[in-house]
Amino acid sequence: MKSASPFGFLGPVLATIVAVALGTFVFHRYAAERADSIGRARAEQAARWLLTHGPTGVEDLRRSGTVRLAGVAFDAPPAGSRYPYLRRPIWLAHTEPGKVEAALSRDDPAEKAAADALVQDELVRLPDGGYRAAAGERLGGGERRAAVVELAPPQRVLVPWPGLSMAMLAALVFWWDLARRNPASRSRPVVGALTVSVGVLGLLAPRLLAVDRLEVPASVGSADVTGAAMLLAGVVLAPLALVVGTGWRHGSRPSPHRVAYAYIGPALLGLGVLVLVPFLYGVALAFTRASHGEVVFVGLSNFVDILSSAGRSLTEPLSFYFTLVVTLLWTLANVVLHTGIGLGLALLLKEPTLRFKGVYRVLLIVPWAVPSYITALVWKGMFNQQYGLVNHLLAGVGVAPVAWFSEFWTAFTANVVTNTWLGFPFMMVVSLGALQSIPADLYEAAAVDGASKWQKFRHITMPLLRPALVPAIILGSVWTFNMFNIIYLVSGGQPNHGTDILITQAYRFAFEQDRYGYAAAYSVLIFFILVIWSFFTQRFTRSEEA
Amino acid sequence: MGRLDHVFKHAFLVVFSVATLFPALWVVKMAFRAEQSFATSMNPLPTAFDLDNFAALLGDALFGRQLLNSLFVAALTTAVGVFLACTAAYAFSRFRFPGRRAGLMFLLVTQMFPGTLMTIPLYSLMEMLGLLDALLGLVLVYSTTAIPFCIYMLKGYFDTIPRELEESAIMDGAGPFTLFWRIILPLSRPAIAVTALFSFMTAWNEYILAATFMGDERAYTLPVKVQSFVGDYTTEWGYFAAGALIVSLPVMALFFALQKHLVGGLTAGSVKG
Amino acid sequence: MNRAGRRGLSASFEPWSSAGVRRLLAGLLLVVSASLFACDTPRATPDEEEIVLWHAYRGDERAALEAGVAAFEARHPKVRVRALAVPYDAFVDKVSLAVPKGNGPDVFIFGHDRLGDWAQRGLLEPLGFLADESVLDRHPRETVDALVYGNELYGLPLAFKCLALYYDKALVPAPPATTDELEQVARALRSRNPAVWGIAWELESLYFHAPWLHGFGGAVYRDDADTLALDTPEAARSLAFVRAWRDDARIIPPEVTSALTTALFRRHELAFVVSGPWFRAELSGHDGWGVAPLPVVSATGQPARPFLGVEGLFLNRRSPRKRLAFDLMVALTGDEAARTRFTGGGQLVANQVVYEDAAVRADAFSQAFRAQAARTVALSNRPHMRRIWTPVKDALSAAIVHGAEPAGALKTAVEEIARVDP
Repeated sequence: MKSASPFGFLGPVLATIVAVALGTFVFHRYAAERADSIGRARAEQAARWLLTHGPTGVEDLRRSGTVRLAGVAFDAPPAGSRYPYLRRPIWLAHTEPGKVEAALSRDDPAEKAAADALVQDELVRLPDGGYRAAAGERLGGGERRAAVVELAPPQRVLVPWPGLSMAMLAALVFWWDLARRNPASRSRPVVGALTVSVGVLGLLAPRLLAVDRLEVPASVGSADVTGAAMLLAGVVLAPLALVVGTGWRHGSRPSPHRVAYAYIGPALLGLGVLVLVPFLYGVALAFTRASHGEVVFVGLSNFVDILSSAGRSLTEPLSFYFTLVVTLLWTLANVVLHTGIGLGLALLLKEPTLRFKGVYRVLLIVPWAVPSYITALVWKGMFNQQYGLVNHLLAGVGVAPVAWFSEFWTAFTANVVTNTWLGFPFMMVVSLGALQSIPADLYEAAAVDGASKWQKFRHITMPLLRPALVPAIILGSVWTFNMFNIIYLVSGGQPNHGTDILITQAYRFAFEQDRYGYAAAYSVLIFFILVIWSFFTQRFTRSEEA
Repeated sequence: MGRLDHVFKHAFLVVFSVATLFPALWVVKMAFRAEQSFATSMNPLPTAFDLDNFAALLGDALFGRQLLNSLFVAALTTAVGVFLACTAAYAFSRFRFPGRRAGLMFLLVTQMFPGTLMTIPLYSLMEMLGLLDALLGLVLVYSTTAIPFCIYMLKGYFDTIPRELEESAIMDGAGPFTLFWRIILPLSRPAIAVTALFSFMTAWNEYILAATFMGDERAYTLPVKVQSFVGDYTTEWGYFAAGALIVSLPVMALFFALQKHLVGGLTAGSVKG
Repeated sequence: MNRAGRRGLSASFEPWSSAGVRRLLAGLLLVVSASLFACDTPRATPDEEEIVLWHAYRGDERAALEAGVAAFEARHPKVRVRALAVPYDAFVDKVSLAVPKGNGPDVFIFGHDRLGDWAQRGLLEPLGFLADESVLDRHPRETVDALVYGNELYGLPLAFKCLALYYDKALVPAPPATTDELEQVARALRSRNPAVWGIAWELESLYFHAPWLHGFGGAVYRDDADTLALDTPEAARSLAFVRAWRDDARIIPPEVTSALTTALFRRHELAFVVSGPWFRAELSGHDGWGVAPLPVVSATGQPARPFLGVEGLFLNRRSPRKRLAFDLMVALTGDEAARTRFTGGGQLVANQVVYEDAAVRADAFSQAFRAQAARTVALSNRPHMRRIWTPVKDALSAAIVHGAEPAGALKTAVEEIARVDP
């Protein structure tokens, strides 16, 4: 079947017109910007050059034709000040003779620029088209130096081509679409090569045509980068779009896999960029250590330190293995409770003849809806030894008040109770949804066969729930493993870091002790543990791929 | 179902609901009294009904704008997340292509890296993409956070829909889009409701990234505003609690609206099986 | 089964051939591009200069700051100041991330404890060139010195805070001058009514324990270097002293949280609270309390000296308009703006002249804190200080709450801190 291009024959024509108009607009904006950026770059370069060459460079620059003014300034502490850290600016050398080792005045704009440059670099376009650049630097011992240079207006305006080339590229792509609808056409590779070379030429043209008096290479302005990015995008995306759109390949069978890749592409691409890049950053960080403001590569020493418990005994709370065991216990307890309660409630609420179901469901979702920051602290208050509600209730049944956060198991229980309260609505909602995938007639058939409720549950509900419920459980356990909020807010890791889980330890290393490398190594270890664990669960879910 | 059974069930549900609501009642109590300290009494029932905190929050000039920002971000996250997750889950469920298992593993693995240190590289990424100080950047980050669960959930659900349905529809001449829109999606409404709610929640309550990336108060989302009541030594709990309640309302409303899809059930028994 | 069935479903798919898909995609594209424009936030017009200021103020303090900003804008017609209120939790991260990339504010307000870290990383501009003596003379010397690191000045002080002694006037007619007096009063109150507690503060925080540490002659650092002086006998004595108050005299509640302290004080069940100026906000609507400087430690005869915290204005080293931003800083720390911050925002401003005003002299609250500020030790702003908090917290918890031996607990803390050092 012949498939039509979106707008028919007019498509490429319209696209060309639009592209040329766009290109012209970009060209005009770009040209002025480019000239300005060349001028600025030259002035800045001259100022920096002077800064490195110091007072002797002043003479050299004075002899060069385009430099109108040059000077170097430095700082000094004012005599007899009560504050030892105040400083004042002074001239060191100037193209105007007589202005040597004199205090800078703030009336002359160039001198003011130099004084300001001790604090702040500056670059201005002068009214006559010239440029004044002032650059400063800090030397050792807190001293500063600055240089100011004034240049005459630049001689030449260059011709930028990126905008035009982008327009031509877009036009060519659309003509290509038109051309290759004839499957026997040989022109495709030729057209493609032509397109790319036009684009590349357009980008290189400014450099090839540039002539510069000061022999200072022009720096890359921001417009260049944008132009290059647009070009790259065009070169990459246009053919990609054509290739992936399988339905346009006239007469050939599209590969079945391409459809699937097109479907999963955007999601995985976004995930890849936004998750993979930070992950790689974290891994790289794990091999470093920040020492006095500098980051040094230390190889595996962070990992060795962690895995050997840094000299602590294995069962001490701050040891990696102790925290690992606590984290596993924490995950297990939470997942079991969340799933049990969530599923139980969903089963209760699925009863068709039960009234007020909607009300119950909305009430039971409250823990998920209210922000956990405040509810976690409310729970912490409830577990307060003297004035908490829990101890009050326990006193009502005759149990002595418990110091919840002084012992490991009681603090752990407090954390688990709080997180269960916060987490069961999610599992309840997932279970409610999952239960809908089981057709009602199965239950009816089972009832006809005389099955009891428990048998129905075991043989119908459980197996059919698995495909939808198991992902939630697996992901839920991964999230619980890395659940930072609750531990931090409720028990705070008490007593003595006993109830800290791996992620809270990592947080402490990063933000309380500034040991980012160590925390990154911790995170990498957490990651590996989870990956290993997920291999085991994959076997469990593989049997579900019926 | 005997009557006694029903009574037991109702009793249990009532008790459980009340126990669930209990901690939230303290939040209500703090929201409705004028003092800004944290409630430490044992009785969570509100004693005062001062509307000062709410008035201060709702009367803030930027409140409307910030609420809209939150709604925009959360709605777009939900739309993008559900859309991308549906197509991807469909592919994972129905097609067998090289890299399928790896793709699923990859989704799971993306959830495993702890996010404590992620802010630094994410910030650089957002800056490179030019999405710093743009709500769209937040949408991008939130969607990628929510998508893995959505794909897994939807895939699991799609797996339970028998292929014979699709095949018979194709024999009747349905195109792929019709297939997706008219057959698969209506049968997966509960799963879509769950994923929509989850995506919304992921985007709605997040404040750390929003506060770090946004450079103008007009671009702040509501949770950032609410979190700004937490100070270095003290927190203004009255305002915070009022803010927490206001922030919870749209979620409850969304859940209420999605409920009928969540438990909609299948009207015609002949559709399945 | 037909051919489609045998080949599988995928082969017959032509996803883009349906008009519905195209419409959907076009619609999505439209929405996305519309939203791109919807997110535009207005910037200053080209001939205006815009200064960006970040702070973590809210409520009255924020209003007072914005009044100062408005006064500055009135004097500089071509300048706009964009003040952004950032939640405190996110503030440090935001600054640390944005400033090195050049996206940060021109000026920002924060406590001085992070100064060393930021200065070392090159985020802050030293103010030696921009400031002169007339600017610095407006502030008490100790507040300016707190903003110095490595012999360079990095900020201008806005306000200070430190701990002082709050007392309930109904239970305690006059504030005690020494710790023995305080203990006596507290014991008497407890024996009369066991529901009343004597004194409370966050036991496990070094910040709150510092007054006693310094009162017993101890210190955090030995000298200008990073050597710790925490494992000295004086420090151990300060821990033992607090533990005695908690376990023997029983005038401190066993489990103290800030929420609990506020609640007890408001119910007149707590005679003394060691807290800072922020505590006043927690007591809104409550009367009959006063503030006094912390007492003298009877065992040594030295006053209990809390840490001094200074809130300062800092200048971004990459700001493209430093002179203008510095003008803003000088204006916000000026005496007029300080008066507004004092009366409207309730801040303890770092301007000497404000405390000489007739109205302010009559305000017992600020005079008490001003008097206490003269008896403080500046919280060290060096980066090393940040590593101390958690290990010392563990030591305080072990010694005071769990009954471990103070000298041993402190030694463990010092070892832990040394271990953290790379």
